[in-house]
Parts: sequence; C-alpha cells; structure tokens
Amino acid sequence: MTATAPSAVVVVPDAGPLITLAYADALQLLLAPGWPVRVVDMVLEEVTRAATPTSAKIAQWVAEQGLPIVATRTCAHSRAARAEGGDKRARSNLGELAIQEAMHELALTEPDTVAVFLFEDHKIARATFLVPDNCRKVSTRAWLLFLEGRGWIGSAAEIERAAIAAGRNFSRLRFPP
Amino acid sequence: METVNFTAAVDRELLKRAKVIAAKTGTSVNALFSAELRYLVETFEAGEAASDQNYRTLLDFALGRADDRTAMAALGIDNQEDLFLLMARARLPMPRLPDATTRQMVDELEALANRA
Repeated sequence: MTATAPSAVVVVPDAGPLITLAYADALQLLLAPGWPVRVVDMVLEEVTRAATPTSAKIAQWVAEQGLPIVATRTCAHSRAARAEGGDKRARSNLGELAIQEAMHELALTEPDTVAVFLFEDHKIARATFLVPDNCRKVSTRAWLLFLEGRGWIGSAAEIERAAIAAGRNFSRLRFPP
Repeated sequence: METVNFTAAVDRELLKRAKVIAAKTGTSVNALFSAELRYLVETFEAGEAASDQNYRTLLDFALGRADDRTAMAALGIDNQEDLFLLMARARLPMPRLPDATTRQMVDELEALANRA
C-alpha cells in the first residue's frame, strides 16, 4: 500500500480526520502515499484528553508509528494556563490555532517542504486564515478519493461508510437514549 | 395516503448509489426517499414538540447553515468527536464541500505525488 513519493511533502492531520479514520479503523491510510506524517501537539491533546471511543486508539497509533509531534506555543500556553488554574475550559478552537501556528512556522523554517494539512469538509469551509504558499488544505474525502484513484484503497466511500457505521454504534453508548 | 409528484435536484452520483440500494433491497428510489424524508420530518417535529432544539442544530450544521463552533456551543459539547457521534446518531450527513472543490484538492494531491 505504501508508495515511493517525494520526501519534501509532509502530512499534518487535524482532529477531524484522525477521528474519522480511527472510527473506520483506517488510520494507516494517512501513511499510504509514503509521505511523513506529523501531529500537532494541541491536536493530539484535543483528541486524547478525554476518554472517548477513539482517544486510546489514536494515542496508541501515534506512539506505535513514532510520529513526530509538532510543539506549538498554543499548546504550551494552554498547558501553563491549566496548570495555574487560570483556564480550565477545554476550548474547542485551540487545535485550530495550533495548526495555524504550525503552518506559519513551517512556511518560515521549511519553505521547500510542502505540507498537506488534512481537515474535515466543514473546517475547510469555515477556515478563514491565511494559508502559506507551501501549505495545502485538503479534506479527508479528497484524501480518500486520491488514494482510491491511485489504487491504494478499493473505495473511498467504503471507508466513509465504515466510519459512519462505527459512529452510530458508539453514539448509542456515549449518548444513551 | 394521497401522494403528489414534485420535482427536485439531486447529486447524480448519490442518485446512482440510491438506485443500487433500491435494486439490492427490491424497492424503489421513491420509496427510499419517502422513508428518509419521513424520518427527518418526524424527528424534527418530535424535537420541536419536546422543546428540544438539538436536532434542528444538527440539521443546520448538516446543511452548512451553522458552523461547527456554533453547533457545538448550542449542543453544549466541546469536542469534534461528540459532534461527529451526534450527527451519526441523528442519521444526518456531515457537511460536504462541493464536488468541484473536492476534485480540485484531489488534483493538488495528484500533482504532489507526480513530482516524484
């Protein structure tokens, strides 16, 4: 499934794609093109800070793959604020802020590297921040269709269906009627 | 039950998949559509009757009329996974970008892969 590809491309998933692929039991598809995958610290914290149906699976997968964690000031600040008891709220936009920070850092420090940032469709539709020239915003669906087109998976729709089916099963446990 | 005909536009690929399901299950696209529309209407009305706005919030999110932050605030949740799970439980699709936008992103990935 893994192919040879240029080393100057990296993949950086947001929380949504990690969650969707975890439900589909298909996190390995992030590695399919052979491009290195990096995980932004705040995104990892967002998807693992609470015990959810996918939190342990994602944490374990990231550790097993030895994926580099991109440190951000956003995450450091968030941790410091929580440690001081200043902000106990789990702010839902911190992962996104950290992604923006990672994008701009990459543009400044690795201008020859192209970074593919993966988001769910609704985040791409909403995101209004400036995207540096060497960064690409790509949806999970586009990623899966790309893999399908390359013959690395049989069907993008099948992966999406698997995620939805698992989500429906787990939703009954997490949100009992 | 009296039925009426009406005209609507639907995604070509979606209709193709619906026809496959109809064939596999020995029914018609019309019957599938009616069943799903009934589910949506009855779920929405039940929520309204119980003064529960959650389904409406999720529907607004599915239709792209509310963004994720607005929906999460209205639902009182603070993570994307719970939003995904609630959408799955409500049997509503996650919002989708237009196919042309998705195609453009696929083309960008192809271009990167072809640089090798």
